[in-house]
Amino acid sequence: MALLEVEGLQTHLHSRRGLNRAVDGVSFSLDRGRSLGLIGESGSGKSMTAMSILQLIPKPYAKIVGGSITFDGQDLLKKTPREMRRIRGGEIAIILQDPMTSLNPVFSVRYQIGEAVELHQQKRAKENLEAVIESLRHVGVPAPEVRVNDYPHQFSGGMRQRVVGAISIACQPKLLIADEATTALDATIQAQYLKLLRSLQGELNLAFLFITHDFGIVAKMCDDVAVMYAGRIVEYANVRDTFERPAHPYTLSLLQAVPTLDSRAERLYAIPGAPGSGYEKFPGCPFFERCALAVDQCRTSKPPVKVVATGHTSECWRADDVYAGNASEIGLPEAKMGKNL
Amino acid sequence: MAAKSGKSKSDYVPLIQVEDLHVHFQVSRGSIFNRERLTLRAVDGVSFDVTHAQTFSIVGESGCGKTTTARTVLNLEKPVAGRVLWEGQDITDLSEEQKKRYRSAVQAVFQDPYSSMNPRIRILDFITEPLLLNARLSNAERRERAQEALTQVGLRAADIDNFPHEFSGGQRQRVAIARALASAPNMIVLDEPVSSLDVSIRAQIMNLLKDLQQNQGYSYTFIAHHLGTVRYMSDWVGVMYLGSMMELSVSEDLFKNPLHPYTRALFSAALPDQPDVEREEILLEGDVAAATDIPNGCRLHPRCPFAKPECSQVKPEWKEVAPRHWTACHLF
Repeated sequence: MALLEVEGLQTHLHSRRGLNRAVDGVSFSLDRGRSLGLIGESGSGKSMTAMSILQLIPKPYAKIVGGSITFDGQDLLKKTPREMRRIRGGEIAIILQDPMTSLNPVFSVRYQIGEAVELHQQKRAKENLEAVIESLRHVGVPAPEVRVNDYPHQFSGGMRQRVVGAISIACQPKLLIADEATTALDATIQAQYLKLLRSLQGELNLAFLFITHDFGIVAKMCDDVAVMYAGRIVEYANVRDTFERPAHPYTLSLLQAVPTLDSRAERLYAIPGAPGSGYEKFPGCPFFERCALAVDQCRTSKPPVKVVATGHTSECWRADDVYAGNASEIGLPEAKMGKNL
Repeated sequence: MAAKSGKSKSDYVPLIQVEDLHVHFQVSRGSIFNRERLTLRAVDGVSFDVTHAQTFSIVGESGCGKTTTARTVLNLEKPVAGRVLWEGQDITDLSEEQKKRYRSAVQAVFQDPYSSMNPRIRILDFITEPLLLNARLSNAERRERAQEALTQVGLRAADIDNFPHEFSGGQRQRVAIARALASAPNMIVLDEPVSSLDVSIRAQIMNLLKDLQQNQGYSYTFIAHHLGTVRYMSDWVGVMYLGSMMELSVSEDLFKNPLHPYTRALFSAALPDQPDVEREEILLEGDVAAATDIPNGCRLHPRCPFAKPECSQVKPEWKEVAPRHWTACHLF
């Protein structure tokens, strides 16, 4: 059985601008030891999906109005706040983007990691310290016996994010959610950190949920990819198929819009318009207005979820055309130019 | 010392020449009773040229001095040594009249289109503010220039009386570009102009910048950390580390044949564009040294996997090791 099973999740936000269907029917599952990437632009609902799993959504403006979240056989939506507190930081941990805001500047690292251990495992002081040092060692902080008494400002940016990593693995979680965890890091530090996450995954049999806007992270770290747009997963596939045979025009366009280090494109494909969000109501496909392949049907009726291959779905009327590789002939001429040069 | 891009045509004077630039800051450390004065060498010997109608890019990690270099070119920081030449003339000894001209000739677009705009000011005023330097223009003429600039960046002239919050992030960045264009500049300094934008919007802005360059002949000084973006945008690329230029070349030469260990490490750390891409792995040890305490010899030597004994003693010379390809490293 899958470790995490999300089924038809709907999280709505009420704000002055009106109702935002931030997460609008999201389903996926994640096995132990596997990595899933939730990729999308701002407002696509990727972070809100992660926060719904942890029930850290901004109440009362946000509300989970539908669907189910099953983690390790338990229905998370039926848990009391007290039971959820046991799960958060214990069985499910999260790493956020900015280590400076996830750490408290006035407490030592020992206190901040130890707090998590104490809350979840009730160890005696001495054992607690050992657990703290052990988790620092795990994330590759040199001389953990000494550094354990240091404060966040005494660490460099990369080391600070490692400390955040140490907090998250201190209680041996089963699932680690990384919400843009390396976005704020420099390239060389990011490479080290991703390598570390990989080795932790192997050692602890962790399941990873990567929330990102960067196809590079997905390519490097993930087994499966869910592409989100306006609160929906519009394409789901394993990582290789996502890159080699995308079946949704949005995925295809995005891949052609990113300049690569390995070759120089003459011209990038630029998706027109701005990302849609859950504020808008779409009678048809939310990507319709920006899509180079749209037909009349796309404007008026919701696209079905098409299975183009085993484990590969796309929510598009023309999924089969895109999957078959006919896309460049039927409307993305610029994109083709960008790719082959 | 200076990397003279396009020096072969001996009478050619690049638009901007940066010569052996040093920008230092005084910082203090410690408690108020035991204060230590330190010199932070943010830019420590940087030379490059920005040629007409071309893009010179500076890449490097945070704290390498790329933004300080750009700010010095914009005449917002004073160098302690070295100089910035504008069409052959030192920008620190321009007459008042020339200074005004320089300020309209060299414009800037910054990273965050949210914080670079005053939310209470209509974009008409945002765009025309730099035009106030030119006292001869009437209000109507300014408005016309602003509308023209707006249409050039793909917005509607009718948007001119809107407030910033009525625009999305990508549109705001277009407005920021329009402001730069309104002064009819020769060069625009672009400091991470796309990194805060959504992935699908980045390509729009990059293509817009390229089109403007092609049609109007602007020069760009482009600062970015995303290497794919740099390769797409640049004619020339300089790689900075800890205040100093490590390597400089024609963009495609640099990406196809990086020489300096730092450049190679930077490239090897870049995220793959496809799954199963394995890059040459060059890991730098430890962290970047503090700019208040730059290592002797080559500033990379404590982290460099190829360091030799002389690297910690002797500062490597800036050499042209291949045609139009300069680097400072004892391996070459």
